[in-house]
Amino acid sequence: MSHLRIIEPSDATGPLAEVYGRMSGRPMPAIYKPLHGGVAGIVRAHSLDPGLMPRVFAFSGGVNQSGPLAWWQRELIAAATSRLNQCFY
Amino acid sequence: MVADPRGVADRHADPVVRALLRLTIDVTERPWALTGADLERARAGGLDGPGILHAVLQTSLFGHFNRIADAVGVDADYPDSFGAPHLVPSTPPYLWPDSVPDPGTPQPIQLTERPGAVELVTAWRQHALERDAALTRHQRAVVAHAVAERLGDATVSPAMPADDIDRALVTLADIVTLAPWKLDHDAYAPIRALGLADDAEVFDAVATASACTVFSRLNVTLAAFAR
Repeated sequence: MSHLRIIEPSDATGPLAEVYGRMSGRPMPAIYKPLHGGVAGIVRAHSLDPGLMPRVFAFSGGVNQSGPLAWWQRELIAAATSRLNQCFY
Repeated sequence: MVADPRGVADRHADPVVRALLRLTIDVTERPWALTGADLERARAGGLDGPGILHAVLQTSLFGHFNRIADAVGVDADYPDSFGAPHLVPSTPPYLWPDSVPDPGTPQPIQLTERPGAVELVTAWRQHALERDAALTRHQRAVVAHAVAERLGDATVSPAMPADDIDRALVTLADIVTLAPWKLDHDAYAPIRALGLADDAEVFDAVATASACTVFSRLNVTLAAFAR
């Protein structure tokens, strides 16, 4: 159940539409593409602040697109952190 | 494997898995309690300095993603094929620090060792703290200090609540930092009642606090490794 409004890509205008466009154009491994074919929920969850979205996902890209930890190690950390914080998204 | 991170951190056959999970648990729950002994234990488990820094960055980032996903209440992108555990709202909050690492002690692992990390954190921090709407700059400073206090980050300048909205923002920052599973309509009611009523204003308050958990978690963890 949504607690705060999400502006969907189809409803976005101005800076948010531009940011959504840039986000959808970034390279992404197939495994991270949602089965519903749309923009991932965690991206849309930032829709109320179009200035924040690119900064967060630039940081995410910097952490996840390279580095010494293997993919399975990064996923292990992500899953464990989410379990501890009781985030079941 | 992740249904019980603590159990797996104790019992998994692979020392790298044990080291990664132990680090993830400590950075998530009580970064202020870490010490150089935890750093050495991670190294003994097979992680090197760059790997440990990568793990701390990933844990901090997903701490933000968890908070934003729960704060907004976004639906899952995938069907639940594995029987995901259910939320236990009565879970006690993470503990307040009983010690604060000295940020002035030379740190064995520094953020500068990861190419581009300082610039990415700086860009995010500027957006989070150096604006005047929806939250004022003072309100952002109050939130940043509240988060820093709860994570044991001594690098953030004190900014005391001056009015009821500031105090309500501190209450919200407390939930964001120490009990993010409690983020819901009830958590937002106090700031809405005091004038931050629009969803974008509420999101700004939550996202500012969540961002500050990332910045303070990184600061505290790297300072704590120096003890």
